[in-house]
Amino acid sequence: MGNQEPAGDITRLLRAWGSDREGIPEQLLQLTYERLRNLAGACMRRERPGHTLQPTALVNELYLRLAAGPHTWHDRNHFYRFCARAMRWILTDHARSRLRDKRKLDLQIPLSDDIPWLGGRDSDIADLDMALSKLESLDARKARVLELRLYLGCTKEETIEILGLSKATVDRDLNLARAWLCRELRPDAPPAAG
Amino acid sequence: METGNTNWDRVEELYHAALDRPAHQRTAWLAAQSAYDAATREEVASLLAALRKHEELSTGPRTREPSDADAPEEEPAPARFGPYLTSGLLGQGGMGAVYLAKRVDGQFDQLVALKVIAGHLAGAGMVKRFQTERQLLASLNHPNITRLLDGGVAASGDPYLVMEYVEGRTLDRECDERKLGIAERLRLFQQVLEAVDYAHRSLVLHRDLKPANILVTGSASGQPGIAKLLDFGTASLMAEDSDLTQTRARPFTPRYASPEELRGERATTASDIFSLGVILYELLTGAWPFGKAESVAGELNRAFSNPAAKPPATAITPQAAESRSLSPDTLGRLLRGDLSAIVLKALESSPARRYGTVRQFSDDIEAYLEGQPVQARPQTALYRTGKFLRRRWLPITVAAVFVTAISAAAIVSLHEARVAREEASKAEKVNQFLTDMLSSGSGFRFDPERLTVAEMLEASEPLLSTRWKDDPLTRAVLQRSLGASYTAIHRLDRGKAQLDSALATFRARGDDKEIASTLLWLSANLVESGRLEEGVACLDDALTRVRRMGKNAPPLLAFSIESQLATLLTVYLNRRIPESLALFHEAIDRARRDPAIPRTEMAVAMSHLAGMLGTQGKIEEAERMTQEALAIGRTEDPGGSWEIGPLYELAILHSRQKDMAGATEYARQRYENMVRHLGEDSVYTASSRAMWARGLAESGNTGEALRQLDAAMPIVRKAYQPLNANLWTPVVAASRIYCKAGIFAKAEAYAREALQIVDAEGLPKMDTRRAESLFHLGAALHGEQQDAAAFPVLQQSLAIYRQSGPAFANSVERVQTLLNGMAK
Repeated sequence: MGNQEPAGDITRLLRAWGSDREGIPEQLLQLTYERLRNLAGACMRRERPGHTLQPTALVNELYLRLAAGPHTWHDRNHFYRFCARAMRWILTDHARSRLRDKRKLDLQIPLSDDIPWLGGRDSDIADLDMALSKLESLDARKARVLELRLYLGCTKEETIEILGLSKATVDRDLNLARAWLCRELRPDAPPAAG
Repeated sequence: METGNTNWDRVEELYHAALDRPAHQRTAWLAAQSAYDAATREEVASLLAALRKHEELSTGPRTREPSDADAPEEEPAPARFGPYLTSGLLGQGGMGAVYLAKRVDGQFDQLVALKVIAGHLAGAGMVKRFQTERQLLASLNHPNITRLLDGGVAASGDPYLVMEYVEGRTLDRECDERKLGIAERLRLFQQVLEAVDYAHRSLVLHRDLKPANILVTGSASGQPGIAKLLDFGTASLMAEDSDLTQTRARPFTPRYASPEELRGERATTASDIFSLGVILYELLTGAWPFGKAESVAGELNRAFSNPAAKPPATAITPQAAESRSLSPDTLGRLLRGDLSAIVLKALESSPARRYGTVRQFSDDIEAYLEGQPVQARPQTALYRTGKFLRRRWLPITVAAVFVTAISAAAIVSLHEARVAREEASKAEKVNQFLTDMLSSGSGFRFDPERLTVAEMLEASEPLLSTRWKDDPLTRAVLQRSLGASYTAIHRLDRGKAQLDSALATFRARGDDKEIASTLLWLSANLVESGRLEEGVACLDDALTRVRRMGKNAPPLLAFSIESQLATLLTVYLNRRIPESLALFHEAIDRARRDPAIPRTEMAVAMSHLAGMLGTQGKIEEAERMTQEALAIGRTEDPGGSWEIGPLYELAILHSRQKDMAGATEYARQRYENMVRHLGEDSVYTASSRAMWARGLAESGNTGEALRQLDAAMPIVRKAYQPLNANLWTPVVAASRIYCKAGIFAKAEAYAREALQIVDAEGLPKMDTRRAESLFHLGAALHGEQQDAAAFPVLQQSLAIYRQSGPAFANSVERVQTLLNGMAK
């Protein structure tokens, strides 16, 4: 996705990766690092220094999870679907641990404007994860669509490509999934600015 | 569209069909859809209501910054920013772009560098950051830092900065293309250090130091160039705790980033020093210190595994030597000695082990540049020995903790506090000894990269008997140093053998001063071995000799003997108290008269005396004296490891006065001091953390107390075997904290463990630690509403405290209060 990564290269690298998985291939890291770092940065815009997770740490953790991920990547889209899930796990874990510690918020989710009413508290991030899990058991595809949009900041076009769906399907899925989430999470008021 | 869930598929079908109707007709339409059952229609109605709510909430003012990171970068085109017109792109980064520009209003003709935020990234946070950079740059006025000339907001609303335009090459290219030798490279690098030192002293961290941010200008004529530090776009004010230091996607360069930055921890001056270390390493060797250059995998790995930098001499290539106008052999030789030590110190993965300031870094390079290399080398070997010792010594002895039996009146962690402090200060003493030892020997070479301290000491042993065969006195002095070093690394038998041998030599000559000095170390060795009485005997002998020498006694020696004997008698043995008090006073008076006695040593003696006064109930005097001790010691070494002792006394004194908030604060300061000096994972640090946690619980903050306790206990458990006496203090703290938190079952378990520890140590029946353990057990049982079981336990505790003298009046009162409450 984005212009900076040649799609064929990533797919090729991912396919080549299956056989001897000694960590993550160097070239793959280089191709995806910037994109993922920017992404991590976008999640962290309210981060303060000295406070737990930061963009680089987030990307590093993401790579650690990738290294422990599935044994074969079918293609780039498979890779990014996994990234979205990993990001969701990491960010939710982080929000939960901060909830336990009663510390200050430092995450920004979602990365898309799909559900701008989602509150900015750690508890909102944890609740979003629970709601998504519920949606997943009802309709896994809609959960995947939202995951890519909310945690990986994918555009509609990228979502269409990564999931291999039609534009109409993604539109309809998004419409229903947003309504469903809104009912599930019962936001009371627009979130505070910033 | 099938999900395999028929109900949900029908809901979805009906939902989308309803959406095809005009909004105002949907409710009626839905009610008429009798082909769907009532539950499905209800579900769809509720989803439609949720959709309305979603739309309502989504149409308000946008509260989030646009997040589409894929928007294409702005193409550079001539653009007007205030009175400036851009004429070309100099660079583009994550935050924005830098253009070459010129004033168009003819006020002056100078080319400038104009920096703008990239439009798609602009947001309130970015504007703030930009303002920070402007303020920071405006506050920096240094010949090696690019000057801020102007700044403003363009018609488009984009803020911009105007900076001095530096025409030149980046530092690495300049050095390689001009084939600069090592000394010339170091001279240029010194200018960079000047700039960063200046910035740090102005409380500004750069946070993205790399060769690309350092330009060298003015070297075209063959003159030495001037290095200019650019791009404070990632800089921040130190200790800044506002939005200005947000690190949103801070585009620092992993290749030059310190491990702590890679882990996303807070950047400090030490992080800048690390980046400077990488730059210097590359300037010297042409290679990246951690393996294959530009490896993202290597960079990520570095965040977690803290690999050591490769010795610079092993990283060079023939090409690197050639671009330094040197043969590979010469370059290798240059990089093996002092320079290696300097650059590796800057590259230590732990910030605390790097240079403390950029100035120290720069001074070391200056010393290298100015000194004769051949003479400088032994100096550096000693310096590296010191560094090595600081690195290796503490873990060795901290792991081997001597457990002593403490008599009734002493509190067990009083001992711990002192041992911990003495651990830290002894490291310095041993360092001094080794320095003395190595400088006395001609040609003795020590390679800290290959040998452990113990191996080094063992290697030096044969030297003593051969080289100084005909000079028994020198040999005895060296044996004493060696014995002291062995003692410090807890090789007690070997240490004692050396000290005994030295002592025999000195006794044969009847030299009181040397005998006393050797006895001082021998006593330390014996005390560490648990042979307290023999330790006292040594110090008594030493004291007699010092007294006999009168005014000729070296003040520091006399002071050390007096204060160590008094400490041993009071803290460890609790006897000859009046005599010990007199010794303390004598030692402290001596220190007042003689400024050559380290103030920190004096402060420690004062705080030991204060501790003694505290147990005698002279609280006010003790507090006054401890505060004075802190003030005195801080004139010499503020924040040093010596503060562990006084801070402990203050925590105890305040808890005796039932000022739990004050006690907790001192306990916290002590814990933080130990984190700095011994590290977070030291068992001493963990014990002090448990003590702090207990204070937190006593002050009512049980949540924080439990968190700190959870962090401390695993370290303590790992360090000691079950039932080790050193577990007693943290275990009792844990019992107290759980009791305060109302988790009585756990409190009871910990109290029972405390009792088992006391039993295992074979302490007398009347030991106050038994009383304290019993008290906590009673309190826990009472909490579990088992008053019948609690009552006899508390009675037993009370009986011990009542026989333990006036210092335990508070304890008697505490048990009594609990018993009275139960009687009701």
